[in-house]
Amino acid sequence: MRRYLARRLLLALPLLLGVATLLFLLVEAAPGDPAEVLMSPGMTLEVRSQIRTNLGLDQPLPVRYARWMGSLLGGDLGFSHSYGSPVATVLKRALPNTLLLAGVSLVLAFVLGVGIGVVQAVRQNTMVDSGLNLLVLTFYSLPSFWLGIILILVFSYGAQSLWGWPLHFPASGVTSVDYDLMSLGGRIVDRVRHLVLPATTLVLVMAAGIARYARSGLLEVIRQDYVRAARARGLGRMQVLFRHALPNALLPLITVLGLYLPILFSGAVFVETVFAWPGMGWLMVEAVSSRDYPLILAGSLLFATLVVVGNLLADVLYAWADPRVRYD
Amino acid sequence: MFRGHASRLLALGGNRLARVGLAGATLALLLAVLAPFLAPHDPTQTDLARHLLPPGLDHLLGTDQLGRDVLSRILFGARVSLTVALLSVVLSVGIGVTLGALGGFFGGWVDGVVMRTVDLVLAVPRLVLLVTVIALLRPSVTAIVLLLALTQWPAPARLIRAEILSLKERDFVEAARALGYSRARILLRHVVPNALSPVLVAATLGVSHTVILEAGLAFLGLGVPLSWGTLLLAGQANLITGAWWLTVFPGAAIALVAIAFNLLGDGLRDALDPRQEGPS
Repeated sequence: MRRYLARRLLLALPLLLGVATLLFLLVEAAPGDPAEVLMSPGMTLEVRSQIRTNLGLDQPLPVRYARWMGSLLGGDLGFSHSYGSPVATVLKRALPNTLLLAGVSLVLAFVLGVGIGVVQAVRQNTMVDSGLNLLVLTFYSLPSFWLGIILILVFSYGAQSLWGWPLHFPASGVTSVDYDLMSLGGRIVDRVRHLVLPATTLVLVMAAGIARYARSGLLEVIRQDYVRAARARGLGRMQVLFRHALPNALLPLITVLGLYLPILFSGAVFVETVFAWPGMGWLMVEAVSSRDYPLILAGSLLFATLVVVGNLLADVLYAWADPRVRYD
Repeated sequence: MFRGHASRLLALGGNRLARVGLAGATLALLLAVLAPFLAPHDPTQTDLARHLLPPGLDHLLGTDQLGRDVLSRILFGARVSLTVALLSVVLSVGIGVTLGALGGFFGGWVDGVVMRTVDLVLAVPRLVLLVTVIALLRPSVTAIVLLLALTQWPAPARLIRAEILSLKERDFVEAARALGYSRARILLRHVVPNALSPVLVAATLGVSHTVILEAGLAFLGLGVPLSWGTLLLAGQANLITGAWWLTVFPGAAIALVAIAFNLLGDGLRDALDPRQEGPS
């Protein structure tokens, strides 16, 4: 196990270096110049060339690559011109927001998705099963950004101004304007209220995907001999289901969770954009539109690292949870 | 090519949901092709006197902030969205099947190179890469199709490689080799056709995924005019005026097409390989 872990970590490192190189070359190959965004039409040629020299852009490509990689490995992510602060500081502010939204959504989506899958598998080929199937497929097919806007229309604008519902939720941001003036309890309620709509969007879309896996996984397991044997020994349906079938059916879902990380993060990009949630996804869209190259590179690399590490964790978790799996 | 699968494909007729999916996908393609004849108005004709009209008899799905007919824009938008999705899926399947088949069949360093490239492409966060590169290149149909295909091919490549790894140990491949057929002939005539079913399923599901992804890129401002995502983006900007029809209808078009292709893909999977299940 330890040797497996060491090997996987050793493989992950060149992979991330490859990703970093690829991203660097992509930004290099793109038309336009990172220095242009810092220049204004009134600048003299001397000032312009000084800016290019300051950014190191007068150096040949291999030199720039070596410098960039060197400072990256040294932990220096560069300076974000659109935020006027080091990239690391900007990322540090955004990451917790994304982790909160993504984490809460992933857990809730998992619970909801597995729940639906279990109900479907138990009631296989009944009206309940096919009804849920259609519902799951519908939500699986909904664009997250559209679902988010619909939720805003109904539960924010509509609920507030059209129908005057007592229960309505904020459509944007992480906290209210007067957050600093609130009591501790008020702050918690405020944060939860802001989380409701974006998290619901992500949960609905992701739970649909997880339910599809959970249903088919459980159906596969229910056909196995040991499940029939447990029933033959006189164990109750529920006991067989929850003690024998479900744990085994959930195992492949660990891998699925690893595979879901990219989907989770890209979902977060859309949901964060719709709800003006200042996380990593929102930050990346902002960075791209303001051509903040150091921020784009470092942010993409952080996403890639999260995906690679997430997959690694999923594999390790799988090996730990399933004694039949041994990687040597 | 699908001789062996023809009878199983016919089983699709017995699956009600798959038939709904097939009908929906066909209808969407027909509407896109016939858009110039079906659209009640010119999709680009502005009429400020009739701006932001709610759905009514003259404009079935209302008008936008410049008085353009939403229904006509959605019909013409279908051409953009479906063209991008279908082209990029076909291209990615072409690349993926070629590379995956070569890697799986020949093994050794060929396989090593293909699979390491697959790992690399999969490790790059796809949406972030697409957003970055399309923003740098300026959005165009060609750029979007190429980039979608270049980030999508690892999925079909992995599928066909796994399939070929198990197929090439089978007796019929051994028999073909004993008959003295060349490796290229065995690969192209005997192995690849038998490995295509999961790819066909993944490609069908991929169309719905790509329609959503393309709309998403357009929603982030990285789309071409008239793409359903571009319509949604304009709709979101007008949300505050209460013009719900500008967001609800283009989004519903995306969702309906995605549902149709997902139903069709699920049906194909059940028909071609009842054992394999789970989204790709």
